Amino acid sequence: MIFDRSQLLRGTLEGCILKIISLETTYGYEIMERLKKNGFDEISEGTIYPLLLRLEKQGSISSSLLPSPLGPKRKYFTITEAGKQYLKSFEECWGKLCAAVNKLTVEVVQ
Amino acid sequence: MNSEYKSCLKQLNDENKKLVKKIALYIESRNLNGVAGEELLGDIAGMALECQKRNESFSEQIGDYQDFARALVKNSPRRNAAETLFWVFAWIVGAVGAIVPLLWITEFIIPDFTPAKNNGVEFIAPIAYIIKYTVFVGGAMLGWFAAFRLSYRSRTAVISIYIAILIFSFAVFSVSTSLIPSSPSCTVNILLWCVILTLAVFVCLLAKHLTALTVAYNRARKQRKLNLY
Repeated sequence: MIFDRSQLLRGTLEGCILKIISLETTYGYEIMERLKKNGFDEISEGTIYPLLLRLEKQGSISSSLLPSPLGPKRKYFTITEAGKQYLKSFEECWGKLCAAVNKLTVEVVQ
Repeated sequence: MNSEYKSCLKQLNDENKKLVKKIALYIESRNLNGVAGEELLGDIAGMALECQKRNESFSEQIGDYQDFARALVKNSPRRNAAETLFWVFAWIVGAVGAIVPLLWITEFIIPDFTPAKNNGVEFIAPIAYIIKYTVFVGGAMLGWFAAFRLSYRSRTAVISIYIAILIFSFAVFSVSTSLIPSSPSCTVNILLWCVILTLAVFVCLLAKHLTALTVAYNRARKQRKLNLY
C-alpha cells in the first residue's frame, strides 16, 4: 500500500508558495516552475491558483495586474507583513514537525 | 463581463473557449461579489490564453474543471445581502416594467384580446389586470433565480421543467383571476412608464455595482493595513 502524498502536500504547499513569493514579487506560472525545480513534480497552475486566492483572502499576499509579454495582463503577488508572520510561523512548525518525524524514522531504522 | 475577459476569450481556440465558458457558467451561478467575480473570470481567461501561447494544454493544467471552479469559488468573496437585493430587484423591475408595453403591443396586434384598450400611447386597463400580470412576472423572475442558482449540472433539464411549471401556473392563474369582478381602470402613459422603469433598473444596477465596489475597496484597504503591520 503506497502512502498518499496529496495529504502531506495539502498541508505544506501553501507555506512553500508563500516562501517563493517572499523571495520576490512573482506570478502563478513562475511559482509553479520554481516548485517543480524544487521537487514538486505533480504541481500544476490549477493547483496553485486556488491556493493563491486563499492566501490573498486571508491577507498573506496582495496582488496587482501588470502587463505581460505574452499579451493578457498578469496577476503578480507580493507577500504582506501578515504573510511574513504566517510564513515565519509555518517555518517554525515545519522545522519542529520535520525534526520529530526524522527522529522517529531514524530511531526506527536504528 | 470585464474587458480583460472578453478580449482573452476572443483569442482562445475553440477547446479552451469552451472550457473557460464552462468554468464561467459555474462561477456566475455561485453568487460571488460582482467585482471579485469579474476579476476571477479575467484571471481564468488570461491563464487559458497564456497556456495556449506556451503551447500547453489548459485542460491538463487545471485538471477536473469542476473541482477547479469549486476551489476558486470557495476562496472568493460572496455577494452581500445588499448587492443581491439590488441585483434581484433590477431583474424584477425590468421584467415587470417590460410587461405593460408588451401588453400594449399585444393589444395593437390582436385588438380586444385583453380587457385593456389602447389610445395612442395611453394604455387603459383594469387595475386587477395589470396587478395580475405584474405579480405573475415578479413571481416568475424569483422562480427563475431559484432555478438558475440551484441548477448547474442539469441546468437544461431544470430550466425546461421550470418553464413547463410556469406555463401551467399561468394558465391556472389566468382562469382564477378571470373570476374576479371587473375593477376600476387606470391609464398608463407607455412612454413615461418605459422611461421611469428604465431609470429604476439603471439605478438598481448602479447601486449593485457600487455596493460590489465598496466591498472590494474595503477588502483592499484591509489588505493595505495588514501590509503595514
